[in-house]
Amino acid sequence: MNNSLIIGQYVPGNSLIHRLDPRTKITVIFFFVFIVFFANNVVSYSILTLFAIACIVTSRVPIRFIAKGLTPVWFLIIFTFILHLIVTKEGTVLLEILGFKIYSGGVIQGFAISMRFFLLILVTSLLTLTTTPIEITDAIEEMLHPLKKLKFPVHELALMMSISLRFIPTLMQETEKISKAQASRGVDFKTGPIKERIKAIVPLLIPLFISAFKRAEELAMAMEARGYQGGEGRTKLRELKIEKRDMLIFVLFVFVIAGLFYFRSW
Amino acid sequence: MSDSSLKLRMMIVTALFAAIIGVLAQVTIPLPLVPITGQTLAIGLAATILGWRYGTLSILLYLALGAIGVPVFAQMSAGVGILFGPTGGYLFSFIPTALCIGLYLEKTSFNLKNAIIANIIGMFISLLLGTVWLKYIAELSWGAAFASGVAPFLIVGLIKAVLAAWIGIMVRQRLASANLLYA
Repeated sequence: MNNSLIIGQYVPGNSLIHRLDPRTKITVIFFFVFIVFFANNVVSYSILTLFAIACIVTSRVPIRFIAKGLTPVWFLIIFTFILHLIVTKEGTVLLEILGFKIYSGGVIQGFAISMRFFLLILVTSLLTLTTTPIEITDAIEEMLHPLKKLKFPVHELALMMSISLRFIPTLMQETEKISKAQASRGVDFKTGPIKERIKAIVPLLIPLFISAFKRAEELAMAMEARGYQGGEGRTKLRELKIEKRDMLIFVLFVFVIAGLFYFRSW
Repeated sequence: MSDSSLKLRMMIVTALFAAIIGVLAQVTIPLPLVPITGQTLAIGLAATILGWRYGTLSILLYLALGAIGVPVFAQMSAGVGILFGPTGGYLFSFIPTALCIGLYLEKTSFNLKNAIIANIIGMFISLLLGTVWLKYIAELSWGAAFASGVAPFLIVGLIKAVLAAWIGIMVRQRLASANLLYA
């Protein structure tokens, strides 16, 4: 459980998609999410679907991990499909169930919108499946760098993200430790009258929050002792670098966009 | 303490609070009907202990952690799909909730009575925004959205609000006596 928290949904691997610069992945996905809304016929949807499938195949992420990412949205996809089936009244009547007429336009519309959701989730989950949270944090810091001129605290936000990531497993263990320590003193979270159970939370939470402040004091002192003075002039442990493969993906993606706008019906 | 080292300490505390929210979101206390989840309790606590500025910031960090794939949302889930899904409204509503709790306490004073009022206001903001979101995303009628989004959580929500206020104020007092409270 602790392990899955540090790496998030990341599936370790060494595929082309894994090795891409995280900035490349974020940029491509950002534009993908945007252009999905421009697809409006069979060819344009096919281009996007092909691109998504190609990415998934090259990433070599097992299908069950991708399916897991889709579980929370199945409901939404099926729901919108049925909704469009009922609401849209265009084209010819395909069949009639209990007084409800299902039109061909509804089927097409429903299918298109579901496909849009499906593609969106598929491609965005591919980012978190092939990139560790810490890589994404580094990439976001780099990409938001220009905002620094506007006094936006880019470095500080990235630092806080890294600290959170680093301490989630530690705090998880600590919560477990405190609850065991309190249980050994006779605190009971699972049974007994409701009032007692609620009261039992108090000795669990107070040490957790107080220790966060103590830990912050220690960490701040350690950082200052090592000369931390904010983001100015700080060098990095992990350097991001745009390689040939990143350029290749960008070129490929430009073709996808061009194809989409060429073949979509205006 | 200088300004910059004060800021550094608050940044770390905020980051740790975001992590704590993520951890507590996985904890549930079984009660008859609706369980108490640690998530909303932790949101109330973050705002009550840290005030509006850093409280809201810790919530933003928490949501950002979830968005980049760290399983910090309820039941170890994560991702942009959850944020924009049917229950995403509750997650986004934590931002104005923390803002209001923190602002109310800073405009008045950090004592138990005010903290309880602030947390109850916060609970209503969260339930209201979450339900409006649920209604539009899932296209429910107002009645159905209210029945599934507000009614079951009202009593537990009140218990949680009081609990968050009580524990939050207690933590603040202990921090003050240990000279650790810079917020």
